[in-house]
Amino acid sequence: MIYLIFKKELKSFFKSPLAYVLAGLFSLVMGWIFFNLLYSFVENIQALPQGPGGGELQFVNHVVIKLFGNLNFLLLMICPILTMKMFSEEKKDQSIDIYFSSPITDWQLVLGKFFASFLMGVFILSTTFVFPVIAVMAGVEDYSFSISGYLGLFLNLACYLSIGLFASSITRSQIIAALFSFVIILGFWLISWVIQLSSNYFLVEILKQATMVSHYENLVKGIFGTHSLIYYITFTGFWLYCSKKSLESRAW
Amino acid sequence: MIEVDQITRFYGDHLAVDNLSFKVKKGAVHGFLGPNGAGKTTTMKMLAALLPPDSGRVLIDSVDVSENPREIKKKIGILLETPPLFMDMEGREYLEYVARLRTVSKKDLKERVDFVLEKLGLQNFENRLLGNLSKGYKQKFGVAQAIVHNPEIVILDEPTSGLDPQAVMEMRELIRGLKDEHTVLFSSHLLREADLICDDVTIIANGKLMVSAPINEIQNSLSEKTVINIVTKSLSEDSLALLQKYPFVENALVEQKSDGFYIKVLADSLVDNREEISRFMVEQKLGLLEMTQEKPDLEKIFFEVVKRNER
Repeated sequence: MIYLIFKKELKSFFKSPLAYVLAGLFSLVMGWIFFNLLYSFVENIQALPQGPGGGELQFVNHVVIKLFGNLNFLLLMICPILTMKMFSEEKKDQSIDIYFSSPITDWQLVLGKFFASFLMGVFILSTTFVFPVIAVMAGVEDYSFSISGYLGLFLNLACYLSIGLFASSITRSQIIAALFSFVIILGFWLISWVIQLSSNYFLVEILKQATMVSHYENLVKGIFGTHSLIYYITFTGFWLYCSKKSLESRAW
Repeated sequence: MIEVDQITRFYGDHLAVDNLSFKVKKGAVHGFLGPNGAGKTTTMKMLAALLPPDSGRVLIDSVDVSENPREIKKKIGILLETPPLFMDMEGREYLEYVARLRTVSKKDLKERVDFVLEKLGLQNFENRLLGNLSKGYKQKFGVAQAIVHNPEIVILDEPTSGLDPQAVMEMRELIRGLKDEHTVLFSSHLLREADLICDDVTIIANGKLMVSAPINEIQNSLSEKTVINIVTKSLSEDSLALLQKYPFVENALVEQKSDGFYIKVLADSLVDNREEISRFMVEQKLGLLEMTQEKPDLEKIFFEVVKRNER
């Protein structure tokens, strides 16, 4: 059943012009950013301090980390758009009754839609897969940063989409769903800014674990801990559970 | 067989369904009637395991719906007021998707969808986008999704609502045709419709059961009654109260229009009482404009049972 719903959602997504407009705009903006980062790196390469890792480390610091920072920021914009209609549109036109009157569980419905939206996100991100290829062709040998960066990006994508699905499940309005998920995701980002302002060690450590931003930063730098993986799984699971609960509220 | 056993459902503080009990016989077309807001949709949702009752139970073939809703859903097809269509899907694609959701095997899929498309006369629309169809055809696809998995029970909530007269006739024909293979429970506030289609009816008002019986039984029980339609220029509350004191007057319903007061009197007698009523109207100086007498049809029965409940 999950696969059935997954397939239907993907088909619907690729039938609509939204898929191609989003992917096109995303690749255009990211291409422009990548070009500027590369250009600025090449222009200033002589002026950059030479550390123990040499030019490759400088490339990671000045191009890869910044690129993944920008990719993550754009995901903040794109994920609410990907998920906004998932439940809200079906609630509005009451087509969601098809699922409620069928012998499927709410988990199957939520997971089918989640996996479909995840693949939509991967499709949009796939337009940037050419960047590491360019970097390797330009002589960068260590592409492990790209792998861990994309891993972090996919995990962030799952978090953002799970929030988006929840937002879509609580309203009949796509706009409200998009705005609501944007605000929640932004809220988690704001935590990382609060960290920079606080001098309380314990508060900082707790907040660091609570926001995906610090976990993502570690992944982009190639630091991968099981606590990050547990964080992402718990975070995504929590919001998917909230979506399921929200669907169950029809019986209240 | 469906057995509804003392179900009650609240929405917040509002009591939508109040201790409702009735039975639907296997293979029957059962009309579920009531004015708007009577609790028909809520009841139908409880029957289809879409909504749990706060108390009471619904049994389908002696199995409690709330105990195994997933199994029950395989036995039921439901069309609520708005057809649940995915507007970006084509007709066949949509029915195949719904059939798979309702566990129709891949092997039987084509045969089942072909059968439903043919039964509802939708073969020419199988490759059309559902969003581009007229309301009548959208409604037909709504019925199609309710029967595509060949359920024992088909529940239709006001299936003719908002359709043009031609589409209404086709839909009625369709519902009659479903009787051969399914038990049909359909709701309507158009009572003439039930008169045309149903074997049995259940009438509810304010969430309460008014009557549940074979339609001819109800008609027979009220065959001793007549309805007198009166139009007067004026009407006071006192005059109405006096009118209702006549022994043969069971009930009187008044509607004020721009050209006068329209009074419907349900009289518990086959005797022609018009002379007596007209004398009363003259004595009260109400300005009698018109008076006719007729036998009650289902519309009058409905009017009578609902008013009885309000008293």
